[in-house]
Amino acid sequence: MPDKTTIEVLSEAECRRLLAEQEVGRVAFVDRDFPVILPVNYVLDGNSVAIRTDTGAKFSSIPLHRVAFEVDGIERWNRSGWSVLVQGFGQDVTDAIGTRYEDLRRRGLETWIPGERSHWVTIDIQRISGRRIVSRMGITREVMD
Amino acid sequence: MTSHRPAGDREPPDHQAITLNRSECNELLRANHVGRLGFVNDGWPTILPVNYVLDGDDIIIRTDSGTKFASVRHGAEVSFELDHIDSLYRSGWSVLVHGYATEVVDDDELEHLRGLGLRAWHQGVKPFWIRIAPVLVTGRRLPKGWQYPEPTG
Repeated sequence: MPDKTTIEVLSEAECRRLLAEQEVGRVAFVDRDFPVILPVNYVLDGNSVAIRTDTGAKFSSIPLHRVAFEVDGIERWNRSGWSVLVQGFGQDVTDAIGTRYEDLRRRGLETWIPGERSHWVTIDIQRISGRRIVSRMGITREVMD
Repeated sequence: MTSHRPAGDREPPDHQAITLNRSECNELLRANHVGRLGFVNDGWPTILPVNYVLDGDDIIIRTDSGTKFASVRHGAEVSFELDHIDSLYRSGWSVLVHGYATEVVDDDELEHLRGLGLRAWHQGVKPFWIRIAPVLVTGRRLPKGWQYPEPTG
């Protein structure tokens, strides 16, 4: 039976909607030549993804550097899934002044993925893209919008 | 929901993550078939979910042609991440592999790879195969957050 799988490019609005709905994503940054991927709790704050990090050496590679942030939903049972990729610059806003940052820090971010939370880092959304893969092998899955 | 648990029941205090040993990481790599490739494309870190299969310790992926993979095809430092994060139970695990990626072009090797049973969800027009040789493999298990209480009686 031919495997009819389609890839659908998601609109920016759809990407932002999916990004707003999740609470766990993965941040990618380069640390001593290797790209690192780490699952983190996050919250969407306007046009930024906000995460909390510690002061460890690897996290010092995030602020002022290019960073990627990804969220996805992969359904193993029917081989479908979606993913959204954000790219932008990381910024340490732990001590940043201004109502926007004060509101963010006050709003808080519950991080149940273990790790220190001493720093706030935002990743501005400079580029955002996403795709959905739907497998039509036998089982039909309604992709709810 | 997998019933796999790393050996022992070592719940540490303070909700710290438990470090997985290499054998536990390998078990998780063997048991799964979707991971996330991390690489740098045109100066930007990139994360892409992909299907994979193991060939010994190496991770094999097949992906279609496209400029974003140019850096990976010609040999690059990459990372490969797997995780299962359960938002409801606030538990899960993650494995991170640092490795070197190269494109496989040798016909005999390609024939060998085709026999490994990689079932990519989406096959592009001109797929090519990437072998990731691991340099460092780390993993951690998140402590159990909320869970059902044990049944009484």
